[in-house]
Amino acid sequence: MFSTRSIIGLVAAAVPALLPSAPAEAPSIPAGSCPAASDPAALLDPVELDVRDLTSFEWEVGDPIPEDLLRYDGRRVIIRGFMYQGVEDVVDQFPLVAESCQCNERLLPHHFIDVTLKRGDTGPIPGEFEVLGKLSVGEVEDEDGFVVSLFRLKGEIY
Amino acid sequence: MVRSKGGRSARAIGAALVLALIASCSDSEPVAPAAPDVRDAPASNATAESPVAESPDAAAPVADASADAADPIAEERALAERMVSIACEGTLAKRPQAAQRLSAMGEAAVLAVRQVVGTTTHDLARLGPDLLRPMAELDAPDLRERLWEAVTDADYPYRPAATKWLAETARDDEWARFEPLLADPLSSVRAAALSSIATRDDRSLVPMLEAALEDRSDVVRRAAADLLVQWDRAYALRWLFEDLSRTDRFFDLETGESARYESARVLRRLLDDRALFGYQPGVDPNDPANHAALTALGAAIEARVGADERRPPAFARSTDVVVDGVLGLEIRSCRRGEYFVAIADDDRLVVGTGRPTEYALEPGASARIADLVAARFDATEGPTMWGELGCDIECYRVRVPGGPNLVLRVMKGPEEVDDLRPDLLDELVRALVAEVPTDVRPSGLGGSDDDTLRALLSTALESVGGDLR
Repeated sequence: MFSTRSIIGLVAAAVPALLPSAPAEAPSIPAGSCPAASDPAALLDPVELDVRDLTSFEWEVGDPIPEDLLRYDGRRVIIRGFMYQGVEDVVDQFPLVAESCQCNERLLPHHFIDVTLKRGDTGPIPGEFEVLGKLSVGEVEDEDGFVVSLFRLKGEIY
Repeated sequence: MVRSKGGRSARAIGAALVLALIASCSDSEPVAPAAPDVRDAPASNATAESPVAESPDAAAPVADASADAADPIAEERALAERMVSIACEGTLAKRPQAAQRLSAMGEAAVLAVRQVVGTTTHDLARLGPDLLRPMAELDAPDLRERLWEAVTDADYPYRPAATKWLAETARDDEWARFEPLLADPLSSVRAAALSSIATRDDRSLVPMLEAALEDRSDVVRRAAADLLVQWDRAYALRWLFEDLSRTDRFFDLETGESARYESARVLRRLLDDRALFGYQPGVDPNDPANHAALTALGAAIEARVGADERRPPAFARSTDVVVDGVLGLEIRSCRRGEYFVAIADDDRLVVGTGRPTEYALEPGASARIADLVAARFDATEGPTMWGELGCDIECYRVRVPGGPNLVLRVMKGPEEVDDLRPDLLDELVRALVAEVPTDVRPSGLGGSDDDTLRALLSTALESVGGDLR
């Protein structure tokens, strides 16, 4: 039996082989007509990460994001973590955090991944699980100057 | 599923703040608004609000709060009230930032915080943990005293956070109040209280930090090692280094990996990133590249430590122990601490993680638990969670004959919930507690030396799933 992960790995490996190799001129493809072609990151094997790979650094508002984390911007990733305990209802967006308990430490923007599900929604999930999707890395501020996230992922529960 | 009542009370607080804001904005004189009677609101937790869809009050732009202000004082007060609202009800990322802004606001913030803190620790619990920071950092002795009341109330769910902010802003005349916290039953409180030693900057207190290196909790040992290294006691790096090669597990729970991440985070700050030689905490320490990084890091640490021979005790050394058996019980209670207990296959009771302690059980104990599991549990049917997501957890890892291990959870937030544990798990956990020898008094697991493991487990279980029936 094939697992979802192995199928995605096979597809990711096969897609580059099906594309023209090193075209001298990029073919003209209307934006959005072919997600894989318009998004090179989608062609790569997803990087497997633990939430703590992204969140285990010291950061305060105004600090830069480490270079070794910025390299994940735009990459497809599989991230393992816990759903934030404040999630009570069916949602299509939730914070993914490193520990099931967050009572001991304040949660700053670099302590969670802001996950948005591209399709469907989910109820509360106990225990550790994985999400697959495209990661965006960088500060997002709201109109009041609050940094609302450093890491965002659009994808699906794996 | 038990539903949280947090939304109603948090909204009640927000509504009270809006009313106070309207009152202050319509009056050119700086009149202190009436305090909302949060005691009438149902018990709950403000942090239970959706972290992604904040309350309308907290979501409004900050500028809106002061647009109609008649004078700078009223404007500042309105802004402070908005920050309080965001610190309690805002989205996840904004709460600590709003709290930090409050700390820098002075008297207007003091007034705004006083409006919402109520009169009891129960009132305070409803506001979540983020407002604790300005309560400690603002120049307001009454708010600080409220924090001390909360820290000494065993039923207050955010004692670690309250301890942390008190410790990081410790006053000279508070030392005697911190000392008992260094021996608190909760490891997270003990670790947080260590910061009070650091703020005193008194090197004669080094022995107290060194004593914490002998704590049974790796959380406390790491906090102590961190502070000692900052005080130029390089030998404490050895404690952090030991964790980097841990591969221990408690059933499916990667306890060693968690320790690796935490110690690597501390070491990166103490030594800087490049000094870890490319070590990756998420990669097996026996992976060739990671092993090479560990070898290089170990040599660098030994060179820095020099001739000092102090080394971690046996229970703090790196380990690859895998705890497994017929039943594993993980209890995490914000009020009563964390316990990891397993009934192994061969009539052994295993307590703790990392390098756990083992006790002999009565002959046949493992078989009795296995028989109960076989008779009552089905690996393919039934719910696997009761309650709602939260950090008070009873997690049962049950080995069902002929099937995969079942992982069953009873979970809740900080509010108290009666009788959350289903009968099936209640019967199982009573059977487990009954097998625990009556004379086992484990050191370093919280409580006093007189507390038996049975008593500690029962108290922790009651604080999560309710009374054992």
